[in-house]
Amino acid sequence: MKHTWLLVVLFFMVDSLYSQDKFEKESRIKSSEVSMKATNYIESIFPESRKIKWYLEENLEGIAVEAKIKENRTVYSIKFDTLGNLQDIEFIQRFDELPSRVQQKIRGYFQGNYDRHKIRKTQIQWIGDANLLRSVLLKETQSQQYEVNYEIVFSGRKDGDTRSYEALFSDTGEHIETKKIIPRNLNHLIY
Amino acid sequence: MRSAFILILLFVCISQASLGQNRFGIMPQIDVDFKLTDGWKVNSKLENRQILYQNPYDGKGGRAEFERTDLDVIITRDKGILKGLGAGYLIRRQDIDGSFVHRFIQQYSFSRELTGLNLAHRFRTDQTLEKTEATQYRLRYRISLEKPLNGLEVDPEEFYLKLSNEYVGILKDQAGNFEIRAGSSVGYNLTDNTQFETGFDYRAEELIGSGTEHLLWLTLGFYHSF
Repeated sequence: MKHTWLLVVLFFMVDSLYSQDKFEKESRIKSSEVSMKATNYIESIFPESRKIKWYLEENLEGIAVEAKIKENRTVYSIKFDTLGNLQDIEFIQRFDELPSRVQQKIRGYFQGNYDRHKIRKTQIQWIGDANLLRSVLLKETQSQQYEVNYEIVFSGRKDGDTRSYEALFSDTGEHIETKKIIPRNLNHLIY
Repeated sequence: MRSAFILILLFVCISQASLGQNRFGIMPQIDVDFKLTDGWKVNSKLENRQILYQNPYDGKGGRAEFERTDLDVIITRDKGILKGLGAGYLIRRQDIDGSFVHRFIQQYSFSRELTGLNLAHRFRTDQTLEKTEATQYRLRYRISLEKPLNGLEVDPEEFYLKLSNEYVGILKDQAGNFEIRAGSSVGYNLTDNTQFETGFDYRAEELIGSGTEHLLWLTLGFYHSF
């Protein structure tokens, strides 16, 4: 009897695991509050940039520090742990600039899982050795020995209901995970 | 010291600006929102207006007087193809003579969350019925934006800046007119379901013709979603 109840609870949890909720809280911090390892890394890539903003990010995975830089019309987000170790580099790209096979695979996923969808933002995510990624950004090497993922924010319509989601795809366009974006209550803007 | 000087300067500027208006006062409001059933929600607002200064003064009541109390209820569709469509009713008690005004409201609204900014658009039509007055018809569009004052998103226990701009077309007794409104306020997001706001609401009424009036209201808002 005890195990039956557990199975029933687990059964109803399966649907909620299909797309998890995205929880994130961030706050602006000064560069003096960031580890020197992180600030030095950023300065080595963007030595003349004055538009570097630092944020403290808290989510279900832990606490991270993120630098946002706008350079040459591209917005870069470079994430570190609190000790200054690089976690990933992300930058915004237009979806139609991704490799065509990847676009096809991702569109296929959306068409197979949503009645309608609209892509709102595409980010390329690089994960790998900090020195290698710095060299790639500075165009000192063409090595591809790092992980590439695509993070896509989209609105998807399913069962008559439209919601916002954030999905992660591999470098070949394979779907990795999707998180539901919990919209903020904006009644104070409407009324 | 510097903050105190800025606050005093701001107070003096606003005081002077308020005396330059045809009407200046306080407009407190309480706005609550709750789910009715799956896919439907109700918003209700109680709003008062207290005039602190008016010029010209018509000799009735006082130069400073309690103007009106509004209570409205709007039901909106929360999901599906009709998401954002709503209809409602407002009742107003005018303090000058105790009379009541009835208004029927139809609206469509939607919001967009962008990086570092939230936007909301609201389209409204309403019909206002008043004893001894012709029915007034209005067509309104309002855009509001919210900008976090810390970080890229408004999190609990953080402040934000809210700006709004509304355009109102009016038809009454076969005569048309136009009104523009602009609002700015600072808000505090206590939780994602509770906000406090204070700021200013400026209105230029009856822009067509020579009877243009300028009104400035100090707004005090409390918003809560159940």
